[in-house]
Formats: sequence, structure tokens, C-alpha cells
Amino acid sequence: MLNLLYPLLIIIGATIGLVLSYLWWQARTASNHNLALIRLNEEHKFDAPTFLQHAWPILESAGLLGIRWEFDWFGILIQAQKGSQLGKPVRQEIHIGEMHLHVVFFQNHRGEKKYFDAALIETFLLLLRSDMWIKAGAVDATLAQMSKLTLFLQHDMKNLAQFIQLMADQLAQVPEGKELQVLNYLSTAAPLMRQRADRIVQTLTLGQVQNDAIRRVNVANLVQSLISLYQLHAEIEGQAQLDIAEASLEGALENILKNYSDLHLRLGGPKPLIRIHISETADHVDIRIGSEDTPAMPQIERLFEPFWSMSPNGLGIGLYQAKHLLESCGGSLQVSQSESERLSFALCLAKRV
Amino acid sequence: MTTAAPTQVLVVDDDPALRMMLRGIFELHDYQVHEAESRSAALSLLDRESNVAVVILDLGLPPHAHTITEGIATLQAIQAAILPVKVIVLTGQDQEAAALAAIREGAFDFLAKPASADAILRAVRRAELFLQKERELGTQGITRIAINAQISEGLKGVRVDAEERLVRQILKETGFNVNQSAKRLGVKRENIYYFLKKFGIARDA
Repeated sequence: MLNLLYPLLIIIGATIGLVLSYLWWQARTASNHNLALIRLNEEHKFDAPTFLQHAWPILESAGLLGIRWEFDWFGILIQAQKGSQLGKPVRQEIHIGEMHLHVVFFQNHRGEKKYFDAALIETFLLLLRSDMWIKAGAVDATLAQMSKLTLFLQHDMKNLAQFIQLMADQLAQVPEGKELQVLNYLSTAAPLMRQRADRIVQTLTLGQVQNDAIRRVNVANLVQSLISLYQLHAEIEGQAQLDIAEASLEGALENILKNYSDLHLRLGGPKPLIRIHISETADHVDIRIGSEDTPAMPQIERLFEPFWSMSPNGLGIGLYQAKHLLESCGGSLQVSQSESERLSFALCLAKRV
Repeated sequence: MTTAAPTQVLVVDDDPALRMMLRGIFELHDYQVHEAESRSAALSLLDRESNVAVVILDLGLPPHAHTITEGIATLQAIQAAILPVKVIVLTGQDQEAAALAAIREGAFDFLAKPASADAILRAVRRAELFLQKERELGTQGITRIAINAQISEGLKGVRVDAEERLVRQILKETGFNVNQSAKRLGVKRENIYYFLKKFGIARDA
């Protein structure tokens, strides 16, 4: 009796095996199509309109009959269609910021292939949605940065314009016998305003120092001049000399030290005492800058992130700029927080004596 | 021969170069100049120097140098202290919004950067003249008060605001002397205590 069932069992087993093989093949094919879409999106640098334009061959080989879309891309309507517009339509919409996509897929599959199609369409839409979010994020970030930069420059530029106006007015009508007095005001104010102008230029060029010649620099003297300029309270220990692009080093040190000046303006109270330790070995110069009078920094990992600032007054590019300036001179900038939670900067500069 | 004491001007600006230039302009025209870089520095100086007549105020002060918040807060603090000073706003901030906010908070004049030295000096002279005339009126028992009235709130809101402003001013002028204040306002001592409680007025520390 059991012998009679063997052929039946073999047929059932073979059928199950065939079905499983078929499903395995279908799943593998679907997986390959999904991977192909992901790779295509990467190739087109996550740009939704281009990805949409080039995705049809993959969708077609996956068995979709056709696709049609209307893409409102920041006010410009992009319309296109590929393949046959017959079959069962599947409509989808994505709305992100100023990007609105209406897409219709045409499919003809039934049974298990319908589910593979659905999975493929979901992957495709997910990639498009991600691309649109990336674009929206980039647009928001750029606009925010531009607005911050404009605000920043507006303040500085108007102060610069006011300075020039007052200087011109003062020079136009110097009262007799007060020429020396006027000269004194100008000689005191002009270097301060030069720094303001340098800051504007630095902001505009984001640290691109032009014609930065390599010179022999006495580090202690350079630090001392910046300390005096920003009227900071500091103790400098040690000294060193090295051959370096002076303007880059000055720009980097200025950006670091100015943080203390800004912090004092923001928090008020007595000026923090900045301790600066300069040391040198045969091939490099180390500068450590820190203060025990500054508050702990809660998000130290974000300090070098451009346009990130803890200060409402800050543009958030100072330390980013400082790091790049030092790296352009073959140096490095590191930041650390001690156990007492005090921030300190470590500059390491290659000596080229 | 005696010469009159020079008028004292306080320059409140976070830019040291501009403060120096304004100092130059004023000193060359025989003003005595004080400087402050922030709200706290300005208020503590006004507390110390009772003879400051005119304040030149930049609205973009730290820690919010790119907005008018801190400058307006400084202006409000000066007005709340009922100091005998005139505040001239000199700022590079968005003109429409800044001018409106400054006038609402009692600024005497508004100048947008860049302003000429002549325009600044003329504004200061006008402020001096107004201050002098207000002092003269004060000797005749007339006190000038400024209030912001919301028309939609009707007369009651205006009356309460004016009442508070007047009580604060008279208390300030009499050195917080309740008897003298009551006499000058023509009310009873008890009324003064009632106003103190009603408006939450406390004697300055």
C-alpha cells in the first residue's frame, strides 16, 4: 500500500522543490533589481530627477509595464513616461518641501509576482523620498548659512561704513590746534578696525589665505600680539621659532583666542585667564591653549563642525577655519576636555627650520 | 570766570574702534565721554555717573550682536530706571523693525549707520535742549512722562500706565520719600503705599 504512495510523494516533493527553486530565483532576481536601483541612485549622486529619468530599464527588466510621472521640482514641472501606459495603474505621491512627485506605475502581474512588484516599487519610492529629503536638508542648511552669513556681514559692514564715515568727517573738519588729538584717535582706532576688516575678508574667503609667504615666526611674540589686540588676560610660558605660512598661523591662533574674547563678552564677569604653553622638539612645535575660568563644553565633538556655534553671536566657522589653516601648514589642531571639564586646544606644527 | 561743566555722553557699542571714533568726535566738541561695550557695563556706568545726559546706543550688543534684542533690553532698563537721560539709537540693524522697537521703548532719536558726525552731533544737541527744557519744567512742578498707549484697550489702560509711570517718576525724584511724593501728587501717604503694592515698586537697592 505504502509502495503506491511513493510516486505520489516523489511528485509532491519534486513539485515543492521546483516551487521553492522558482521562488528562490524570483527573490534573487528581485533582490538584484533592488540592488541595481540602489547602485543607480548612488551613481547619480542621490539626485531625484536624474535617478527617476534613468531607472526605467531596471524597472522594465523587473517586469513593470510602464511608468509615468509629473515632478514639480522647485516650481518647474518635469513630465515623462516610459514603457506602456496600459495595465493596472498604481498611483503614488511624495511631497517634500518644494518638491512634489506624482508617479503612476503600470503592472500586469498577478499572484506572487504582484508582491515582488510591490516591494520593488516601495524600494524605488523610498530611494526617491530619501533623495528629496537630502535635497530639502541641503537647501535648508544652505539658506540658513547664507542668512547667518548675511546677518553677520551686515553688522560688520555697517560698522565699517560708520567708521569710515566718522573718519572722513573728522579729517574734513579738524579744529585748529587739535590735529595731534585727531591723529591719536585715528591711530588707536585704525588697527582695531583693520582687524574688523580682516575678519570680514576671512569670513568671505572662509580661510583661503592668499599669497601666504613662509616666514620665520616667533610663536610667543605672535601669540602676545593677538592677546594684546583682543585685550585678553593670558600667561604665556615657553617660546619657539619656526618657518611657517605666517598669515595662516596668525589666522588660526586668532580664531582660537577670539573664542575666549567672545565668551567673556557673552558671559560677562572677569576676563578668563588663558594659559598658553609653548614647547618645541627637534621637528615640531607644540602650543597648548586652555583656561580654567571657562565653562565646560557640553558638545565637544561638534566644535569643528562648520556653522555650528554655542554663541548666538557666533558664525560657527572660526574653529573649522583654524583647523583647516593649520592643516594647510602641515600642522594639526586637537581639542580635548580635561577631568575638570575645561576645554583645551593642542596645536602641533611641523618645524621647517 | 567759570565755565559750565561739559555735557556727559555715554557711548554703548560693542565695537571698540567705533567707540574710539565717536569718542574723538564728541571730545573734539567738548563733550565728556564714557564708553560701555554691553548692557551690564552701560547700566552700571549710568548707576555710577549720575550726570550722563545722552546715551548713544547701538542695538546690536553682545551676546546677540546680530539682532536688536540686547539693545532694546538696554533701552528698556534705562527707561525703567527713570534716569534723566536721552537715548539716541545709532544702529546698523534692520532699520524698519529697529526704529519701531526703539521708538516704542522711548528712544529720543534714531540714526541708522552709517550716520555722519554732523547728524550725530545735531541729535545730541537736540537731546540736550530737550533735557534742559524738561528740567526747567520740573522746577515749575511739571513732569513730562511718556507712555505707550494701546488704543484698543481704551482709556483705562492708558490711565493705569500713566499712573504707574508718574508714581515711579515722582518717587525717583524724591529719592523714594513717601511723604514728599504724596504731597507732590496731592494724595495721602496710604495711597502711595497702595501704588507701591499695586505696581510692585520696590526701593532701589
